[in-house]
Amino acid sequence: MNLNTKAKQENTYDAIVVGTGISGGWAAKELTEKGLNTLVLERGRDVEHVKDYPTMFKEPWELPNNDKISYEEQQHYEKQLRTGYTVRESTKHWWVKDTDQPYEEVKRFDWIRGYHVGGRSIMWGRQSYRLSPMDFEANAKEGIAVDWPIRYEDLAPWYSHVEKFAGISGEALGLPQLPDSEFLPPMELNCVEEYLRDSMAKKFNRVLTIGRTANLSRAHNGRGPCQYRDLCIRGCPYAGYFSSNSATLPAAKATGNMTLRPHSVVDSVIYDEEKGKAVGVRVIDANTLEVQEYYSKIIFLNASCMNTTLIMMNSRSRRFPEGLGNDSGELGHNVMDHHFRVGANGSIDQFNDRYYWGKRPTGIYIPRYRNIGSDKRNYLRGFGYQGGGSRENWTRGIRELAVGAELKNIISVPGSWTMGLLAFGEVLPDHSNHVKLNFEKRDKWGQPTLVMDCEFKENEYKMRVDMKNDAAEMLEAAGFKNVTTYDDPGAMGLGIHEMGTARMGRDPKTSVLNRWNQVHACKNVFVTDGACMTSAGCQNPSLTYMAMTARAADYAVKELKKGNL
Amino acid sequence: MDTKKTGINRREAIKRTGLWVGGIFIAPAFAGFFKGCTPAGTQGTVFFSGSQMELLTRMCDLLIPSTATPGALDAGVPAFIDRMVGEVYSPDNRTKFAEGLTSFDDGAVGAYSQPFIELDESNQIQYMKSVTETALNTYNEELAFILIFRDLCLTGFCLSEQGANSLLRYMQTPGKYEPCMPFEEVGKTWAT
Repeated sequence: MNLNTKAKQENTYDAIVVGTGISGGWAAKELTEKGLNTLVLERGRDVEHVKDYPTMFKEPWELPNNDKISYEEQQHYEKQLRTGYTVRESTKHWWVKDTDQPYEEVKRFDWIRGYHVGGRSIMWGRQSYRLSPMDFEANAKEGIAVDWPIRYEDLAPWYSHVEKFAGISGEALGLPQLPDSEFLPPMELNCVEEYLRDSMAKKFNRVLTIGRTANLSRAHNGRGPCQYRDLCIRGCPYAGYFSSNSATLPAAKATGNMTLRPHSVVDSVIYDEEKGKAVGVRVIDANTLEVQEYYSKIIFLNASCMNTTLIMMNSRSRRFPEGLGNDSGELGHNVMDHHFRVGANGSIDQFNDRYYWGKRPTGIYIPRYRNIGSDKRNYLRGFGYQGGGSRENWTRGIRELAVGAELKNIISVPGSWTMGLLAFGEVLPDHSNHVKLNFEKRDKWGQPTLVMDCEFKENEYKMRVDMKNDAAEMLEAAGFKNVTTYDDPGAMGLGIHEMGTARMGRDPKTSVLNRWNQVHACKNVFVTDGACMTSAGCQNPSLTYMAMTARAADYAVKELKKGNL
Repeated sequence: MDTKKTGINRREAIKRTGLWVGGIFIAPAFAGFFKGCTPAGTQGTVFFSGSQMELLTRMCDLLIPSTATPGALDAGVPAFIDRMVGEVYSPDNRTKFAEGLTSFDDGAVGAYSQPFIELDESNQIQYMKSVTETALNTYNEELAFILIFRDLCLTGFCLSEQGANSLLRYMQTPGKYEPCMPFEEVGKTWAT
């Protein structure tokens, strides 16, 4: 009895954070800085900033086979390889082996994951945009899904809070559909991008700006600046971009209040029927399979959208027979992502005496202009474009007749400037897009596995017509030649922006979380990763997860101090 | 794709050098050059036999010769291609590549009555160009063998230490970003 009490004390914290990616890192930082003794759980191995970036300085010729993994190894990454860029010799240690981490696809779903300290914050695209007032109002105005329980004004100060710490470079534009961040100086457009920007402004009254990115255009909070290597995905020795490993976790560690426990697969949240709240989490040691319980006053679930959902669905009690907080039946439903892989490319016979130095780790951004003001389309919401201008490199030598010295001469000089526009569109929340658990098929840690049943719907396909044609039209109007379009929707998940499976809402009957990201009927459990999203916007979502997490952590600590949790 | 133009070129192409189907050159049954060749591995290779390596090596040297700057052989490109095909390609694509190599050589025998390796350099260049021209003018679902070869050879060379730092320019850590400077100040194509 004494031993048990002592063990329980040793395993008791003020707060538990599940997950160390973009949102988990923020939860760890905010909670520890507010004085909470916090246990941070990560299912994968530890990754220490710089020390554990094994390929950060590798030259192309030091990576075997042009950085491609062998055919034998490819067999372990059937789904992770669907992006075409993720699993390489230089990055394979950041991606899960599908053979170890199975899931089922009723319809194809590309679930691209990294299980280690830092999660996907190491490999993320770093594009950082605020949602706008319009985005928080759209569901209510259009009668889609449920209304967000918050408005832009609720989140705005928290966007500022996280931006000031993370460091977001970009250009202030004062656009209502894309509010400005607290910016570091913008990275520069090149001459072809400026040329397109000017043409678009004149001919379409549309805006092109530099991509807003969590890459540091100057030193910031002891990190960076960016060295223009564009090798971010390997982990940056200069801390030139924001990741949990380079920024939030070191801050949390510095407080002395963080206990980081890697190799900890969270099985479920422990719900106390008498207390009517959660009291801790059940953890499986990934190496020994030993089960341990950890206890705390509050719990932040930041395991990433799908894994947070899995944990909640697997947390079954008398009170919550269908999974923690699932009174509404919405847990696991309303899966969203962004749909993309549609756009246009063109080339231009100008600026041939110009070239660039350095590899800018961001492209251009064209903020949404559809279904704004008097513009009305045959679909809801809109899209933005990413992309950029560059000169053709030596690969143009493949499709040349030239052989020998003639070929060498050709490839030693760069080819034409080309410009690419790639659209990212909003996906509407739809109850029928859902995931569930298969309790029969378990992974090697004994966990039930996810079954994905999601697809793009009519609104997305209608939008794609504009996404393709507008890109070609803007390029052609600017005088680009050889304009070609493409449209390959792939499948949900490929945007690696999965979200919506534990949505926020005003009514516990139709949503899982309230306006403070608390589980409606279990208020000491907070969900602030992608699962909380009520609609998607067309902007890259990570910045919103950061802001949402900081806001919820602030509220959680205040409520804790008031004795309300 | 301009189908009309492609159609004409395709007919011309067939007349000149035979027919490519699905990236594989279908040639008359000329004497197989690789008959009796040494098996893979005996030359320290991953996949190709000695005679296949000999042919590939000559093709690499022809495509990117050593001039005032290093060439494909200086950069070890034949061994790079051997590993790429042997380790990264699927078994199916390995077979297709090997068949493409055989067809390439059979085509030389068909056109010049001599295996490629025994042709004089001007005929080798002429033949390689004609096969490339056919591939570029012929629409196929799959990339023709010669274009796969050019891709492998260029990639192996341009991303090698020798290629990236001689014919091209390479810097892992540029340290700054200049979006639109005079080309002369860079001077060469960036390798990455």
